[in-house]
Amino acid sequence: MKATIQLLRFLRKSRAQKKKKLYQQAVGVAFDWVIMIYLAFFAGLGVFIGYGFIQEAADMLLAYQSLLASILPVVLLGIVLSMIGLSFYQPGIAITSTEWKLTSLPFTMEHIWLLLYLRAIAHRALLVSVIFFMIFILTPYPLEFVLPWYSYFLLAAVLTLLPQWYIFQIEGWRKLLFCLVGFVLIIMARLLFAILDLDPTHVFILALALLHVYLWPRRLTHINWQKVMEKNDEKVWNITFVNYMSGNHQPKIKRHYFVKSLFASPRRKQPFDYQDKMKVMRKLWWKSFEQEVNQVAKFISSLLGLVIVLLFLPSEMQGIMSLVIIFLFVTISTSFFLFYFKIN
Amino acid sequence: MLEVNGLEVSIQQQVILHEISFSLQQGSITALIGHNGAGKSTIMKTIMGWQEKREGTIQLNGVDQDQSFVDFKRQLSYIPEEPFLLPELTVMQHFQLYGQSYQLEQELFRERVQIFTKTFELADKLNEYPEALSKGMRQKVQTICALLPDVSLLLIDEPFMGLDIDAAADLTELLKEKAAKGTMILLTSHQLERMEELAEHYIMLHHGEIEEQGLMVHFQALSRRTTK
Repeated sequence: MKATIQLLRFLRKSRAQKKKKLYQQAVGVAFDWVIMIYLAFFAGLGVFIGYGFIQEAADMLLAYQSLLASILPVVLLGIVLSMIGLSFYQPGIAITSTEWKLTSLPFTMEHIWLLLYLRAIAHRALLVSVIFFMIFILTPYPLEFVLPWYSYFLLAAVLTLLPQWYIFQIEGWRKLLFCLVGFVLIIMARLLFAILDLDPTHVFILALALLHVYLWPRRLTHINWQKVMEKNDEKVWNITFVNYMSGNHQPKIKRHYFVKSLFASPRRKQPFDYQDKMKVMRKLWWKSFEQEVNQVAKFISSLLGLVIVLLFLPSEMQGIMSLVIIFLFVTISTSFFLFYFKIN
Repeated sequence: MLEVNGLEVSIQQQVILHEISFSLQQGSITALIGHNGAGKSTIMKTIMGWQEKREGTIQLNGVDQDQSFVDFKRQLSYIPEEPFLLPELTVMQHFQLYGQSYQLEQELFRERVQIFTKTFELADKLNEYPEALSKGMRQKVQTICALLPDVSLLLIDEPFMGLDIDAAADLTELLKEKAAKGTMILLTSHQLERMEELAEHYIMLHHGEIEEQGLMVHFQALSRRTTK
């Protein structure tokens, strides 16, 4: 294990050096000193204005304290839902092609995975800590109010990492079923707690912790390493940013693993009669649908998430939220189909 | 000594390797021969631990792959068909990575890096990242990495792919030297002439099963008879 720690440290240092060079090249193309000075000036001004605004809004923020206390379970639920949403795109544990290649040397994936899992937990904990430290410093909320929120957020952020990794590996209809069962359980729990008039916060945390008993022995079984590496490489190297800054606007062909797995069947791999226009049209229709269906899936899952959050909101906010959801649905549906018909 | 016993590998219900058993003696060079899809690379991957086996055991000098994986891996190095270098490391850092991983002494490490980089004409590329190298150069870097440590077993998938004539000849000599010092070498290649020149033993695979195995001289006689 000690050797693996040393090796990962060596790699992190080398990666940081290379990224520094890469970013210097990328940023050097798009920015010059004049722009940098302007940006620094406006950023400073923005911070100053923001701080002034928070000071002025101190009374209003304090007035919201009791309302915020009542929506803590909703926020925790939001974290769980965002984890489910993220698991469609990111595994959460940064195993890039580099870490995977290390398995050709005398190192085990178990050790590498464990160390990177701990590193991901540390990153999340640090992020939550910094955010709450800023909230404590900048807002008038007292420590007695901030501390419980910080503890729950920290626990929720840390305890959602392993479920995200696990759900990321599931493909096809199984994944949809898994998410659907999760949604139904959450709705049932919400209704039950509403009927019994209980605070569900601790139950959420406990349920997430108990889930680890099931997930831990399965953390390295049925892993699609190709998918894990591809997503992490893209994130770690921030390829989109570097390509954009360096003027390389070639669109990267993304593999939609989840969508592909939904419609995968041996029949679709069969040869077809390319002289039959209907068959060719049907193939082309499927192809275009596959390209767009990822957007549709994102849209539907976001709406589902919003509907579930709606259940947990106080009654005075439910009306407004319902209107927001209907507005979003109509706007996105219209724009999507208008765009689709325009390009076709 | 490498001992592979009753190896069975399946991928999604499909049997890839069936009842594979063979052993390699210290200092021997053995060629894995077979058509595309015969299972040569799968054997390599299974020995490396990348491919899960359904049944069977693999032991290297008495160390079982399933019992002590890190000790098992410390005794072998691998040259893949496609060089897989790490994008964050320069050529020299790749050598350091291997030296550190196999706990090679500093003095010996420096000496070997100097010799190998001179042999493969990479001395002026030590501070380059992989994307700045041609495919042949990347293959040379990968080859040097695997040759740096003193291991019992060297696995090589298509060793001459991407190498120029001089580099291929140098590699042949280096492999012979390694074998003379006691390293077992298991390699695959479609370049039969080179295999005949290099290997003493062969294992012939067909549809995931060992069709025949023995001394390379017998294989040469066999292939001549077949072509006649």
